[in-house]
Amino acid sequence: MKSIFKVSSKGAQFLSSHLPAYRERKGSALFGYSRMAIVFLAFCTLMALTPAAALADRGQGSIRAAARPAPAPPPRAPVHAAPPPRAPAHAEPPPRAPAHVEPPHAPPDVHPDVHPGVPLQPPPHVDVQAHRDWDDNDEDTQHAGGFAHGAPVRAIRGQRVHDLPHHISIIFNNQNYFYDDDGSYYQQQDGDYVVVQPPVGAIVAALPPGVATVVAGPTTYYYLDGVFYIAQDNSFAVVNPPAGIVVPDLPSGANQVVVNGNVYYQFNGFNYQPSIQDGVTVYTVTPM
Amino acid sequence: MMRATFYSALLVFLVASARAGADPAPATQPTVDPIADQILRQSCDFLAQSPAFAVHAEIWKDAVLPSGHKIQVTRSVDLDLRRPDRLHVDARAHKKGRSIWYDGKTLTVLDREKNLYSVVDAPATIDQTLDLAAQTYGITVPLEDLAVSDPYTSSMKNVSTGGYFGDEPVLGVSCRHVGFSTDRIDWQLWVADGPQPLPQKLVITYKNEDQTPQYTAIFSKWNLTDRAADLAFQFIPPPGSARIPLVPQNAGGEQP
Repeated sequence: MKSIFKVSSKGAQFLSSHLPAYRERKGSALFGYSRMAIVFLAFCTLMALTPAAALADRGQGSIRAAARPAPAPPPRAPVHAAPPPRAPAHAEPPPRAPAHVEPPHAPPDVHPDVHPGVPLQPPPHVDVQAHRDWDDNDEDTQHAGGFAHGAPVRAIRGQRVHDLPHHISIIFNNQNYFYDDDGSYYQQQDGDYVVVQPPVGAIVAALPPGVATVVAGPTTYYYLDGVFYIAQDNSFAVVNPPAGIVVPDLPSGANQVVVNGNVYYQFNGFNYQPSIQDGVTVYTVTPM
Repeated sequence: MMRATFYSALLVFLVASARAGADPAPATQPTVDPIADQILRQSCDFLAQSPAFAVHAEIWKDAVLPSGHKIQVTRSVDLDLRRPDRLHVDARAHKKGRSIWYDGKTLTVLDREKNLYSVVDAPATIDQTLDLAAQTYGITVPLEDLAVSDPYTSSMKNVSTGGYFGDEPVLGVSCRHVGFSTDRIDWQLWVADGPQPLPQKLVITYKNEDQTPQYTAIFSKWNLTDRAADLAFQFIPPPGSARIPLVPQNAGGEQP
């Protein structure tokens, strides 16, 4: 008998000496099927264990890009739009000011304006886009909350309105602020309401629609129009940005300056330096 | 007897495992219909042999929102090239747009909405510059599949199967419909049936991604004359624009 496979000499000897008798007893076909079945199972196991090519998806719209190997993971955190958790229906409904200003609270001075029993929405985790084009951010749907929430028309800082939109009240350092559903903050001035920058330390129950999630070191920040939030005790606190954080958009009202030939945008005590990263324009924030 | 057979199977398994580990290439040969291969090759060869061309593309891209809703967004792209070292791409979406210029020496990226641009040194050919843009700066240049010097080899990389699905018109142009598959995408091409076998439509399906989004491009306004002057490939900063850095991938400012 000539063995198909080279096994150990002991195994070959075993095959040679026992194969004829075994075939006589069980029939050669049965033996052949058994061996083939085991070999087949071995190949099936091999196929199952062979890892598929794990390539990160990127570069939509290009056959060539789909064939490129995945790049090394970037050291910086991704900047991407997070789905906007909407404010729970606990905002104070009346539109005019005097009725909304909450009576002076006893300390603590900062309060989240959360009604008892109203569940808070934690910031959802969103994976980075599986593939990203250089112009993926050119669609309005990528901004301001996307299709499900429409594209809110945000008030511009400094804008003066006579009637407040739907809002909640915030008292901070004995000053009244009004926080609308689109994430704008107002203060009362001369009978009107003016859009202002919220004070650092203010706390809101829910993030406005359209915030971008930016991870910096161990901390996740939520960014919208020059305002940075972090999650804090089931609420979200307005904070100063850490130096070097990269954000996808400029705050409205930022002023362009040129220093030593470099373009910056200045806003609220911080420089926003533009650059093109991964094909899209982003801004690195540093203190002025 | 069974023990010996077991050893045999084990040996086969180990040898095959070692081979699989050493060679990550697909174990099977691509199964491509010869007619589909011929149609694609004719179209790609025609493109590769065109010293210059311009084309307009209307593009529809599926976008899967965080809510899970799949929508379609549109843009238009104009590509102008002269082999081997001139390229200009304009991509325009609603109120926004980006452009790329490659003049054989530099690569410029302009964010039209923000009126900001970046310029970096570029290598000597379109192919090398496309690779530089993708691998160093994370920029996939729109319609790059048409711009490379060897579109056939570039597009057939990793293809496992391919077929010819008959003749269909695209915007009134009689086309031959072919489709190919890799482990990540299925892509289909409609090639004009005539003396100029130019692509008329491209569909890419990202079959491994959530909700299998598709990219669709309809090509039109093909112009094979070398009409563009050198000036068309040179970037002239728009009024009021400012130059900003183009940051390489993985070097973009370590987040604090």
